[in-house]
This record gives sequence, C-alpha cells and structure tokens, in this order.
Amino acid sequence: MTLPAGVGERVYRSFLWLYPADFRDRFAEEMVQLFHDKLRDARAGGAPGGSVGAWITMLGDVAVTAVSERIRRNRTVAHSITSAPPMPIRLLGVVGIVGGVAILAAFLLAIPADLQALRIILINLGMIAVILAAHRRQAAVSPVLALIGAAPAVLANAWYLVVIVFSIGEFFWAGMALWISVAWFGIVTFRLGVVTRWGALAVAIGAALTFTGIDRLGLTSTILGQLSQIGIVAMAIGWILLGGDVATRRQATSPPDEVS
Amino acid sequence: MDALSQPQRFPPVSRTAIHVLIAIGPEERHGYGIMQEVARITNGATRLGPGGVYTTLRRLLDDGLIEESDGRPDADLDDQRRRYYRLTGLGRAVVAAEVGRLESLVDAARPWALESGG
Repeated sequence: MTLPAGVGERVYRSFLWLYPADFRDRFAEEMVQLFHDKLRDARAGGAPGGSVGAWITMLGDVAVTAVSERIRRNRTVAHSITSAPPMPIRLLGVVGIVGGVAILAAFLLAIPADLQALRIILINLGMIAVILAAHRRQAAVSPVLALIGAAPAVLANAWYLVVIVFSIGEFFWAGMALWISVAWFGIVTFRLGVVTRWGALAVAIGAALTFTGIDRLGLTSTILGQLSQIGIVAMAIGWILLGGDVATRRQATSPPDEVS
Repeated sequence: MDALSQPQRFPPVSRTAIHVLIAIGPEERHGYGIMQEVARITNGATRLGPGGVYTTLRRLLDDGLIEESDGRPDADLDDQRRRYYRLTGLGRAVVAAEVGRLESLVDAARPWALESGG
C-alpha cells in the first residue's frame, strides 16, 4: 500500500471515527502524528513488512482498541446510570405521578369546571418533571439524542402552560405541538431504554392517539377519535410508570472499578 | 491514608500500562517515543500501535499516574501535534511498587526455575 503520506493520514483519520467522541477529541491529532511517524519509518525500512505491514498492523490496532475503548466507556456510563437517583430527581418522579393521576382523575371523578385549569397545570408540570428526571439519566447514555428527545417536549409543555395560565395563543397549535413532541419523547425514551420501556411505550402510543382527538383535525367522529380516549388513559399510565421508576429506583449492582 | 504514601495498596496495573510507565521513565516522552521505548525494553516482544499507546495513556491520565507536560524539548524540530507525558509522583510510586512485586516473584522462582530451565 503506497498511498501518498497526506492521503494515508486522511484514510487513517477516517478510521478514528470508530473511537468514542471524547477519546477522539483528545487524542486524534496525536494518533495521526504517531501514524505518520510509524509509516515514515516503515517506508524507510525500519519495520518488518514495510509500509503494507505497518498499515495492516495499525488498522488491526484501531479495530481492537476502538472496541475496548467503547466497552470501557459503556462501563463508565453503566456505572453512572446504575447509581440511585438523588432526592430532587425522586421528587420530580413523584410530581410526574401526580400529573399522571391528574390525567386519570377526569375519568374517575366529576371535576368542577373551575378546577380544570389547575388539573391541566398539574398534568403539564408532571410531564415536565418526568421528562427532566428521565433526561438526566438518558444524557449519560446519549447526550445528543436525550436532548433531542426531551427539549421539544419541555418547550411544548411550557407553551401549553402559557396558553392555559395567560390565555396567550391558540390551544390548537399548542396541543398539536404538545402531543407530537410527547410522542417523540416516548419514542426516544423507549429507544434509549434507561427508564422503563413500558412507560415510554405507553406515553408514545398514548400521545399519538391523543393527538387524533384534537377537534379541529376532524377525526373525532372516526375510530381514531374514539381511540384518543384510550390514548389519554395509556399516556396517564405511562407517566405514572415513568415517574414511579424514577422515584423508586435503587442502586443497581455496578461493575467493579478497574485500573488501567 | 492516600495512595502515594501506600503505593502497594494501589491495584496492580495491566502489563501494557506498566510497560508504558517504565517506557516514560524519568523523562518526558511523546507517543511515538513511548511506542519505540516499549519495543526496546521488551526486546520487541511488545509492539504497540497508536491505539494501544493512547488508550493506555488515557487510562494512566485518568488514574493520575502520568500527566501531560507543558514543555517541548525543541519546538522548532517538533510537530505541533505532539504532546509529551511524564510520570506523576503517584506514577513513580506505582512503578516502584510494581517492581517490588516483580522482584518478589523473581526471588520465589529463581531457585528452581533457572535450574530446571537449564
């Protein structure tokens, strides 16, 4: 393999994407420099097998050490997400349970009209609380995906609260944003699997079905409109499961620490 | 009681890690220098690649056994991408503890292993 030095470095650099991002950010430039030095010496006849042998050796080295580095990183992440949540996070989980119960309350009790706004505020605060609590653990696994999953749902809940509390804006658009973003949060949470997947699944399906119950979509007379009631119940159960998981999670057995 | 005052209480480091620590030795070395020195002190038995060198250096940095050096022996002759590493006090203590462990092993094996090995 007799690629020009610059091309060889670019090819080698492309393989460094196999390493975790933090490792790459820290050492990629040095590794490319070391690769450059090693290949230079191999070309000069200082290594057995010449430059072909050096390429094979260094690509094998990338394959083995990238895997080990990722396993090590996953162990570190596993350690951080197996620790018991601190009290403030547990309280967020409790608020989430209250929000879920507030959703179900409409099916179980005759709630006076003047308390409806308070009930909806409790629901929104409950959703925000669980999203924030779940995000803390999810971010340890995938910071970007966790943020993409949580941020729209928090913002949409905040928007809905503004509509409720200050009567600014339309319920229609706020509701659209809310149920779509919450369904998305459920999907991301299910995908990450850090908190209960049953809860995440119930939230995702429930929010999607609830979305079809928005009056202006004109689906309320269809089967989808009927299913929206089931969706609301499913979503309530989902928030209760997620909140309960966060509030009651205990310290899991973590792998032993290793040294170098 | 910290690890520096009781280095023998520090968990044994991996074979690659002790090779890298000894390769750095009392000097400051960059990655390629470490790689060459490891090959030299092991008579070529251990040949690390860039990944092997830097995954080990990362772990040693995390454990506080080495640190990055600010100094550059000759900036004009050196590529700016190079970084130099040196042992910390804890790193030296751990090497000393590891040498002690190896000495006791050698002492235990020497009376019979060298005889039977001819």
